[in-house]
Amino acid sequence: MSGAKVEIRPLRAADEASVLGTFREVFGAARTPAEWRWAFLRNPAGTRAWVAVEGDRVVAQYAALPSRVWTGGEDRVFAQIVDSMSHPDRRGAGLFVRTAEAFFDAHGGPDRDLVHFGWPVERAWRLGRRKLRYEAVRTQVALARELEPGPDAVPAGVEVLAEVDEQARWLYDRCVGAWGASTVRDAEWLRWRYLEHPTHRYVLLGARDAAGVLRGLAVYRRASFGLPDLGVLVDWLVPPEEPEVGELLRAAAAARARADGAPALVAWLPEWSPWFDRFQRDGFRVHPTDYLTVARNFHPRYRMEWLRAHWWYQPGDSDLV
Amino acid sequence: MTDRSALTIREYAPGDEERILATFNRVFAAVDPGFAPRDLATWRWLYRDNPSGARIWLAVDEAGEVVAQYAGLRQRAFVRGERASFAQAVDSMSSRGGLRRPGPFVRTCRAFVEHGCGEGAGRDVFAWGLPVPAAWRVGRELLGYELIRTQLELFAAPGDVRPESAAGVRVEECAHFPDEVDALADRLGRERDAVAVRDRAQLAWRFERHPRNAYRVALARTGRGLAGLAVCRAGTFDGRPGLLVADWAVPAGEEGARAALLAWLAGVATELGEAEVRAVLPETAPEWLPLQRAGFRARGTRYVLAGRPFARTLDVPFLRRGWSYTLGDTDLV
Repeated sequence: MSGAKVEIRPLRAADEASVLGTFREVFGAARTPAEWRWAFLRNPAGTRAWVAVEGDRVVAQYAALPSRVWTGGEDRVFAQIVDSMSHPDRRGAGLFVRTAEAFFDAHGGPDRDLVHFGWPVERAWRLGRRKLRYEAVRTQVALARELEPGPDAVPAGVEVLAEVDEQARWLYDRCVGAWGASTVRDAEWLRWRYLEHPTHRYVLLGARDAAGVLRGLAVYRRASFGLPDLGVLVDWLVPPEEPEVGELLRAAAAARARADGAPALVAWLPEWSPWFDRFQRDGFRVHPTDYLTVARNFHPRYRMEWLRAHWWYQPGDSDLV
Repeated sequence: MTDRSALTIREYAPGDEERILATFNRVFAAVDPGFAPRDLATWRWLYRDNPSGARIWLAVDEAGEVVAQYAGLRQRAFVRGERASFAQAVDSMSSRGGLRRPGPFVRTCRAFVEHGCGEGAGRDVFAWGLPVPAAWRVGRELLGYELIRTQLELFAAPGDVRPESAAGVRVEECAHFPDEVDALADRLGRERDAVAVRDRAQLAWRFERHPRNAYRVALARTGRGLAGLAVCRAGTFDGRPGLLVADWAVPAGEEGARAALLAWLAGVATELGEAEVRAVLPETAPEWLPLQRAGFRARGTRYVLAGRPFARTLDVPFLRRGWSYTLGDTDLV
C-alpha cells in the first residue's frame, strides 16, 4: 500500500505506459499501444476516460468508447464502458467507484452523454448495479444458422469494400427512420471502427445497384463469439424495406464464412426489427448467450424499456468482436 | 407491527379476503379499462386452494381497510433435484401512494420477504414475478429484485409446425390428470436445474379446477408409460390471440412424445381457428431449440421476468440458465 496522494482526473496521452501496465496486471493480458491509441486517442467521437493516479502510476480507470448517436432528431453521444479497472493492490479503497463517479459527473447528463452501456462480466455487473446505477436492458440473444454446404464465393452484386465514402451515410439515412437511437454509421465511423482496427480484420460486404449506389452493407469477421470460430455478422446496415438486399448480403456472409471454414453464422438483431423475423425465416435460430446488455441513462427518456424497444445496436457497437 | 401512520403490517388472516378483494377490485379497475372484478370463489381457488400454499402480507388501516398487499403464490419446486419452494409475486397493489415510493406497499413487501423468504423450513428460496413497469422499478430499486430475462415467446402457424416422427406414441386428451403425472414430475425435477413441481395435485388445481378458464390436456404415452403432457387454451397473451401452450412437460429423451404433442397442439389450433400456437419458455430451456427446429419462431414480448434468490446456493445466473417454466407457472393464461 502506498501513502501517496491519489489524483482523479481525465486520462492524458502520457498515461499510456502506466495504464497499459495496470491493464496487464488486472486482466492478465496485454493491450498493445496501437490498440490503446486506436481506442482512446483516435476515436472520431472523442475520448472518455478518467484515471486515478498515485504518484505517476495509474491505479484505477473508468473509460468508455463514445459514439455519435442519432436520436430525437439530433446527434448525441452514447458510450460503451470498456477497460474499467482498479489495480489489485488498491482494491477496497473505493478508488474505482470514485473514479467512475468523476467520469459520470464529467460526461453523463441530459446535455452530455445520454447513455453509458456495456456487456459486463458477472462480477462487474454486480458492482455496476449496486454502486453505479446500471440496469439491464435485455438478456442478449443471438441469431445463428448452421452452414450447410454451398457457395464459398461472394455472389454477384456484392463486393468487398476496401474503402467507404459518403454513400455509407446515405445508406444509414435510409435505415435510420425506424430506429429511435443508433450509432451514426457514416464513413468516418465505419473507417475507424472496422477498416483502421489495429488487430482485427473485418470484411465489409457491400451490395450495389446498377448505378453503383450502395444499397446495403454487412460487416463480417471470423471470431469466437460465445462459441469458438464462428462467422460473425458484426454489422448490418440494410433498409428493412429491401429484403432482397438482405438476402443477398446474408448469402455473401454465409459464403465468406464457408470459405473460412466457420461452422455457423451468427448475428445480433433487436427483437423489434423486421430483420429479427426475416433472419429466422432464412433458417437462423434464436439462441441464448451469456451476455446481459446493461446501461445507465442520464435522461429520463432513455430508460431501459425505451432502449429495449428503440435502440439499434450491433456487435460492432461493442468491443466483444 | 404498527407504523407511524397507524397502518398495521401483518400477514393475512382468515376473514381478510373480502376486504382484500374490495381493494383489489377498486385498484385494478382504476388502471385497467378491461378489468373484470374478481369474485370470492376465484380468490379462494387462487390463494386458499393452491396445494403449494400462498403467502399474503397486508397493510391495514385503523378502519380495517386493506391499503396494500404483497402476495405470493407458492410453488413447490425442485432445485438441483432437491425439494424447495418458490413464490410468484402476484396482485401487488396499494391504494395509497401507489407502488412507486417508499410507503405501505414497500413496507408490506419487506415484511413478506423478512418473514417468508430465505432458507429453512416453510420459507421460499426464490421470489419472482412478471412485474408491470411501476412494480419493477420498486422491486429493482428497493427490494433487490433482478432481471432474470427479457421474455421472448415462440410462435408458429399450425401449418408451419413440422414435428419429427412420433412413431410409437399415442396421444390422448383427458379431463383429469392421472396419478402417473407424479412420476413425470419427478423425472423433470431430477433432470432440470430448477423447475416447479408439476404433480397431479398441482396440475389439477391449476387447470382442472380453474374457476374461469377451460383448458385442454393431452397425455403422450409410449410402451414405457407416460412420456409427456401438454396443456393449452385459446386466449390472449401480450395483446395477441392464439392457442396458448399453458403447460408442457416432456422429459429428455422423449422426442417422440414431443413430436406427438406438437402435432396435437397444431391440430387443436386448426380446429379452433387459431392463427398461431404460442409458447412462453426460457430460451435456455431444453425445448427451445427443438421447437424452433419444428417450425416455431421467436419474438419479443413486453414482459420482463424478475426475481430474487434468497438461498446461498442460488443466484440469478444459475436461475437464468437453469430454471424451466411455462406460461402456466404464471397467472397470465
